[in-house]
Amino acid sequence: MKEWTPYILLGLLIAVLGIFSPSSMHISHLLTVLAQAAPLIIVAIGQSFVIFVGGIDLSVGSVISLANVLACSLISGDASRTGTTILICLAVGLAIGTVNGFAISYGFIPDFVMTLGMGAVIQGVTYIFTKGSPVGNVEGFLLTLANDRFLGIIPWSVIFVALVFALAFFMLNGTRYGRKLYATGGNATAAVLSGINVRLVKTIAYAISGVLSVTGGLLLSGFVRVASVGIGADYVLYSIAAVILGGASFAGGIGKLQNSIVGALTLVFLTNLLTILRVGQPGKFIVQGSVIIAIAYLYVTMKGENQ
Amino acid sequence: MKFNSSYIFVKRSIPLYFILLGIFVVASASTDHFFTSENILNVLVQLSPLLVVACGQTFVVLLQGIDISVGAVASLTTTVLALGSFEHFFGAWGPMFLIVVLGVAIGFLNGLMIYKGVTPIIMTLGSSVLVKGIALGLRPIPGGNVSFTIAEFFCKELGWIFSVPFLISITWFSILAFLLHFTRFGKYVYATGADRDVSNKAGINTMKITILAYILSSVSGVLAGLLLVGQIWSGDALIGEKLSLDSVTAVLVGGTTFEGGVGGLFGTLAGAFILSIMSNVLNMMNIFSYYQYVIKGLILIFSIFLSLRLSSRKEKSIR
Repeated sequence: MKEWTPYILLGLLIAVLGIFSPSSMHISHLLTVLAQAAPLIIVAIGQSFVIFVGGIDLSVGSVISLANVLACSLISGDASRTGTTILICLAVGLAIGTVNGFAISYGFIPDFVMTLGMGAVIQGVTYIFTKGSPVGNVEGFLLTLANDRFLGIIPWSVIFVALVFALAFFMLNGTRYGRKLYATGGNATAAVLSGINVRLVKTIAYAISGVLSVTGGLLLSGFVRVASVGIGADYVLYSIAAVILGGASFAGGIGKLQNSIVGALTLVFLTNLLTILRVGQPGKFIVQGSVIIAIAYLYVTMKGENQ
Repeated sequence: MKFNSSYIFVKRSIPLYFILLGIFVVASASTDHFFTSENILNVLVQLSPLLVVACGQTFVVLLQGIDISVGAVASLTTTVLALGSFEHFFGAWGPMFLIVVLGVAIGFLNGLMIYKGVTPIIMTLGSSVLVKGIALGLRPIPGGNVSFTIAEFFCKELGWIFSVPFLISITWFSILAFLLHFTRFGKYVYATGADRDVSNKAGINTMKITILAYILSSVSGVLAGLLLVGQIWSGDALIGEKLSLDSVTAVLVGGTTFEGGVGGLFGTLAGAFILSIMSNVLNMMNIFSYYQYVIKGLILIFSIFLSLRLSSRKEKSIR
């Protein structure tokens, strides 16, 4: 039962959506929603790695914002600079994630404190970099990726997300690294004793989260086109909520990547449904908060049944 | 053997007071205006909401939890107090009653769910979004009028460095410090935080303790909201957001750790003072507020790094 819960929840939600707005069940509308969900899904994949290994990454929001302002000001309307910009941004994300992972696994700073502090530092850096008024806009590849469709049907962003997912899924389920990650998350002491380099495994997980946050931020920049310093703020809650809605445990070692995607889609479809029902932003917050609490509680009671 | 928790935790926080003293001396020496009664008064007024929230947050962190929703609760308080029509029916202090009831209800929900096994950060992030929604529903854009009586009371200056908000925050600190360090409830909080299963077996009603701790935290959020009302005289659904993470920072800088059952309110007091004075000094030195995010983040990381390095638990975490 627990295994199927994320899918049942999403199915119910889509059914409700279909009842209230039959037109939104059209395949092109569903693909649009999927395309909009792309940045969140990518960030949630990164967050999944971290939560599966028993940690948490609270810096994703600030990293997304940094990637956004960095990309916009570096590209600044000139499509030819896109390649270099993407490389620079990814390097920044890799560096931030590695520092997080390094400090957490070697420096014995609790994950929560480290990524919270890092989030504040990055936020400050973003403000300093933009002096409070971000400039520039993205052009070329990022716009195409976010807004155009393959053969005019399937959004490129959906294809891109599918690729990222396939790669991450393979890493978690088809490589030794994936097995080490689950082992570390499940019981770090046992993992150490069986010869796993726990520190390296954790550091890589945080590095992946950093890189994927930047990737999500770049894709988001393609959607919004311009720079905005607070653009990533909501992604901390939503990415964590997506993973938890997918049934993963904060204790680590438990969780499936595909379920995190389903969790992210649940959030996106919920917001979509509320928009269709003309619920305002306050109402959206109230429903989102209640749903997150209710589903988290649902999983807790299910865990109790299994024991 | 007599176990006197208060003595131990005052002792633990003594180094922090030396750091605080150091910051104070450096601040007085480097800027002319720091050590004036007007500025100290100002620092203490600015400090008061943070101190109040951090005191409540300490209980929760001692239980290996966290309360991200306090900032939203403080914001909600300002929006409820700015509801003119409500006051019309129930008098100036009517909204206060309503918001205290709401605060207790939110804390109760947080505590109950977390006791049932929902992860504290997910629970309180969820309730924070929920409460933010209610506050934004009441007041989509900042504004409205708070009863003159209430607003004036919460910003009254009493001469020299004293003001009503500061006295309220210190009184709240004293009440909670008494609760935590001198009553059975306080000892149970430490015990539950250190090991809930063992505490349960020892006959402590850990469910009651958990719920009470989150109620204390939530009510602290309400009180901080009242103090904010004294500063802005209106309702603002986002004004308190910073308090959530700032209060966690103050608690952690104050030496209470997420391991549970370690730390105390005297450390939190020093932590809140250190953060507020740092912020004031950075402002006076004309350091652009953007840099303050960076500095605050670094203070958080390094203070925890140091406190873990210095603590006797070091060996345990190295393996």
